[in-house]
Amino acid sequence: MNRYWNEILYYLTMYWNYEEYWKLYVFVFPIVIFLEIPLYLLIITSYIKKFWNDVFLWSAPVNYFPTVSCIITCYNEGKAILDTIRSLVEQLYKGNIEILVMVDGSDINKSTYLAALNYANKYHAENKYSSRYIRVIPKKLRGGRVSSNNLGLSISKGEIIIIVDGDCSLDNDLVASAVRGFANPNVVGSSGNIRIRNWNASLVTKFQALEYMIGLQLSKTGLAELGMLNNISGAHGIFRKSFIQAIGGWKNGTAEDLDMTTRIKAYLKSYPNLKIIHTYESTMHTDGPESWSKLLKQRQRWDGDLSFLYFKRYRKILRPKNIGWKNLFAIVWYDFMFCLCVPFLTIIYTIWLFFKFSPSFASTMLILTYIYYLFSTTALFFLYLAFVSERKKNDIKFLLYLPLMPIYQYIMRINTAYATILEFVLSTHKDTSMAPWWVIRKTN
Amino acid sequence: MNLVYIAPTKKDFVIKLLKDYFENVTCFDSIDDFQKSDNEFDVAVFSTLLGMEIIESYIKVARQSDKIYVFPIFFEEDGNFLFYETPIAAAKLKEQVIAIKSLCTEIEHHHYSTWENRILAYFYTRPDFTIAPKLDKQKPMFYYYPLVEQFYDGQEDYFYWLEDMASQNILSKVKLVDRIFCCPYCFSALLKFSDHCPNCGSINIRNEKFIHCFTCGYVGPESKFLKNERFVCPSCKSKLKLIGQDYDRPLENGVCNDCGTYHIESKLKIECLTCHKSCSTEDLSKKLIYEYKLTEYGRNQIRFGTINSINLIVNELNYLEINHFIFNIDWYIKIQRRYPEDYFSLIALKFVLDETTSAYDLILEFSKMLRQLFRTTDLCSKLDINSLIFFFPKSDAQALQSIQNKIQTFLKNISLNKGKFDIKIASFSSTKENISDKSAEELIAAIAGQL
Ligand SMILES: [Zn+2]
Ligand SMILES: [Zn+2]
Ligand SMILES: [Zn+2]
Repeated sequence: MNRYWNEILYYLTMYWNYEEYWKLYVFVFPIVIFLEIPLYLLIITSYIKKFWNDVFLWSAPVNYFPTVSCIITCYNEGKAILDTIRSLVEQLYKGNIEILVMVDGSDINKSTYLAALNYANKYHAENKYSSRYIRVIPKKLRGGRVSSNNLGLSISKGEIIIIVDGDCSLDNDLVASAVRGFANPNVVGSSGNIRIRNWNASLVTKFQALEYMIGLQLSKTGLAELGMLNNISGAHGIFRKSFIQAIGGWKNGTAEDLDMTTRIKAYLKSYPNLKIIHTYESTMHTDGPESWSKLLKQRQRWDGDLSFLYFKRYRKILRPKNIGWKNLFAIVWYDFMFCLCVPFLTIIYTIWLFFKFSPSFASTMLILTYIYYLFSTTALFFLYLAFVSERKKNDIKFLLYLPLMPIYQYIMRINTAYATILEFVLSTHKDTSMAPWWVIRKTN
Repeated sequence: MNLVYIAPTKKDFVIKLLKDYFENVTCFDSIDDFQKSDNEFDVAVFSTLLGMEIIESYIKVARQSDKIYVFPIFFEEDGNFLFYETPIAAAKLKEQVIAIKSLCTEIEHHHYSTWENRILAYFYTRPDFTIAPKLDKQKPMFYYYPLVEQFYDGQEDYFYWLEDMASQNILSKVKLVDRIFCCPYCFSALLKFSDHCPNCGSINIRNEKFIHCFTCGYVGPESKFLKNERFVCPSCKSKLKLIGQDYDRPLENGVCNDCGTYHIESKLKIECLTCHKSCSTEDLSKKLIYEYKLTEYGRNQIRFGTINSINLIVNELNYLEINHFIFNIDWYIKIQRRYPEDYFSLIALKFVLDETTSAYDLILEFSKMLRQLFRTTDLCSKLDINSLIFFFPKSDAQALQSIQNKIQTFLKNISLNKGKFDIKIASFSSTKENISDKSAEELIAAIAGQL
C-alpha cells in the first residue's frame, strides 16, 4: 500500500521532468481538448461580448407593459399550488397579469382544484381592483401539459404567455424581467432561469443547485448570446402569444418543449429577423430530488428521453435545411456529443487506463483529471458569480462544495451512460403525451 | 255617568251610540272649550279629527296634573272607539270606565305627588297594560316609552327607573325588544366610531401592505422596500425576490402618519355624541330594551304605598346581596390581619325622603355622583329598604373622609335647589386594632346602629 502511494507521489512530482510527459495529453485530455475546452472558450467569448454590450451599448429604458398570461399546469400539488399562485400575485410588474391555473384531472386532483379556487375567490373578494386576475380552470380529463398549454393559450388575454410549473415559486421580478426582452418585437420566445429551491435540504440538492447555476444558467446565457439556444424549457418558458398561435400551439408527444423550440427554429430560418433569447434574470425556483436514488432515477428518465428524441424521433428533422447549420452544430455538439457521448468516453477512458497501466499510474491520471475539473468548474463558477448570479451573497456559499463537484459530475456521467444503454437495449421509452417531462436538464 | 265627547264635527250616530250607554253626554268643539268648562266628567272621548298632536299635548297636561292623571280617555276614529291603539266596543266603554273608577278608589287615599307614583297609580287602574318601547332615531337611546313620557317631563333618563322597578319586582320584563350598545357614562346610543393609532391615538393613519425581511427580521411598509421596482430591505440592504424564502407578508397593515409606528390592528375609539366622552369597545355598556308590565307584588306595593327608589343607586354600582357582601368583608378582614397595611372602609347611608319631593331625580343625581366616586373594586349592598352600605377596600380613614366630604357637599348643593332630601351617614375605617377580634357581621351591625 505504501508503495502504491509513493508511486502516485512520484508520478505527480518527478515523473514529468523526465519521461514521456507528452503522454499526459494523449491519455488525459482527448475529451477535454475536443469537446470541453472549445465550449468553455465559447462561453467566455460570449460573456466578453455580453459585458461589452451591457457596458458600452446604452439601451433606452423599456416602457412596455403588456398584459401577461401565466399558464400553470397542476396535478396533485394540493395546497403547494398556492405558493406558485401567491408568488405570481406578488409580482412587481406594472402591467396586468392573468394567472391561468389549469387543474389537470380536476376530479382526481380535487384538493388542488379547491385550494386554488378558494384562494382565487378570497383574493378577488379582498382585492376588488387588482391588476392580478386569477382564473382556475378545471380539466376533467388528464390531458397533460400540452393540452393545458393549448387550452390556456386559447382563453388567455395576454400578449405574452409564460409557462410555469405547478410546484414551483417565482421571483417577484420574474414577469417584469421576462417581458423586458419582448419589447423588441422580433423576440418570439425566451427561456428563463431555474434554481433549486430546496438546496438546503441535503448534499444532493446542493450539488444540483451548483449544477443548475453552472451547467444551465451559465451555459444557456452564453449559448443564447451566440444565437445557439438549445431549448426553451417546458418548466419555464416565455412566448409571444401571436407567434405561438401562428405556428399552431404545442404538439402532443414527448418533450413538447423541445418540439416547440425546434419548430420555432425552423420558422426562424425563413424569418431571420426573429429570434429567441435567454432571460437569465427571470428566475423560477423548483424542488430537486433530495436523495441519491431519486436523483439517479430522475436523470435516467431524462437521459432516456433525450436519447430517444435524438436517435429515434428527430433523426430526420435535425438537418441543416430544417434548422440551419449553426443550430445543428449546437445540437450535435452540445446535446449529442457533450451530453450523450462524453459519459461513454469517460467510462471507456477509465477502464482503458486501468487495463493498460499500473493502478498507481491510472490513479494518478484520475487525480489529475479531478484537478483539471476542479479548476475548470471553479473558473466557470466565478464567471457565473461575476456575470450571471442575481443572488451573489447566497451563491458564494456554494464555493465550499466545489471540490466535490467533479465527483458528482463523474457519478452523473456514469448514470447517463447506464440510462442510454438501457434506452437502446430495452427501448423503455414510450412516446406518450403523459410522459412527465417537466424539468429538463440537458436539453434545457 | 258624565261623558264628554270632543270633536270638531259632530257625528250624530256617535253621539247616539254614546247616549245608549252614558246618561250625560256633553259635546265640545275643541279641547280649549273642554278645559274651560267647570263640569266634572267621568270619562272623555276625543275624536282623532282634532289631530293627534293636540290630543297628546292635552293628555300630557292631564297626566302631569295633580288631579286628573288617572282620568280615563278614549279615542274615536270613524265611529270606532280606541283605548290607545286597541279598538274597544262601545258596549265595553262603560265597563272599562267603571273598572278604572273602582280601582281608583282603592288607592285614592295615598298622596301621589311624584310622577313615578302617578304612573304606577295609572298602571294600577289599568291592569293588563304593558309599557312598550317605540323606536325613534332622534332619541339618545333610539327607544322611548311614549306612556312614561306622558307622565314624565324631565330631561333625565327615566330608563333607570324602569330598571329599578323591575329589580324591585314591581314591574316585570315581558319581552326583550332590543339590545343596544351605548355610552358607559350617559347611556346614549348616539355613538361615533373611528379608528386610531394604538400608540399615539392619532386618527391620521393609513393602511399599507407590509413586508417582513427574513435576512434581518425588519418589518416595514412595502413603500420603504420598493426601489426601482424591486424590493430592497431598508435595514440590511438585501434584495428580496422570493416570497416565502426571502420575505413574507406579516399581519401588520397599519401605519401612523403622525408618530410613524406600525400596528396590526388600529384602536377603535368611540365618541358619545351626547356627552362627548370617549371610550373603547370594551367599555361600552349594553342596554336591554324591554316591554314592562305591573306585577302582582307591584300592585300590592302601590296599594299600600310602599314604593321607594333606592335601588336606583344600587343598580349602577357593584351590588351584592348582603350575605355575599358580608362574606367578602370577612375575607378582607383575614387579609388585613396578615397584611396590616391593607386597610378598608365602610360607609352606610340612610335616605330620609319626603313624599312630596320627587325622589327620583334626586336619587338619580346622587347615584351619578356616587358612580364617579366608585372604583371597580368597591362593593355595595342594602341594609334595609332605605339604607345602603358601601365597602371601599384599600382605603384608610383619610380616603374615607374625602368620600364623606363629597357626599356632604352634594347634599348641601341639592338641598338648596330642590325639596327635602336628607341622607344620614355612618362610617367605619379599619386599623390594626379595631378588627382584630371582630367579624364582618358585627362591624355592619355596629354601623347600622349609628344611623
Ligand atoms: Zn401614532
Ligand atoms: Zn433585512
Ligand atoms: Zn355619553
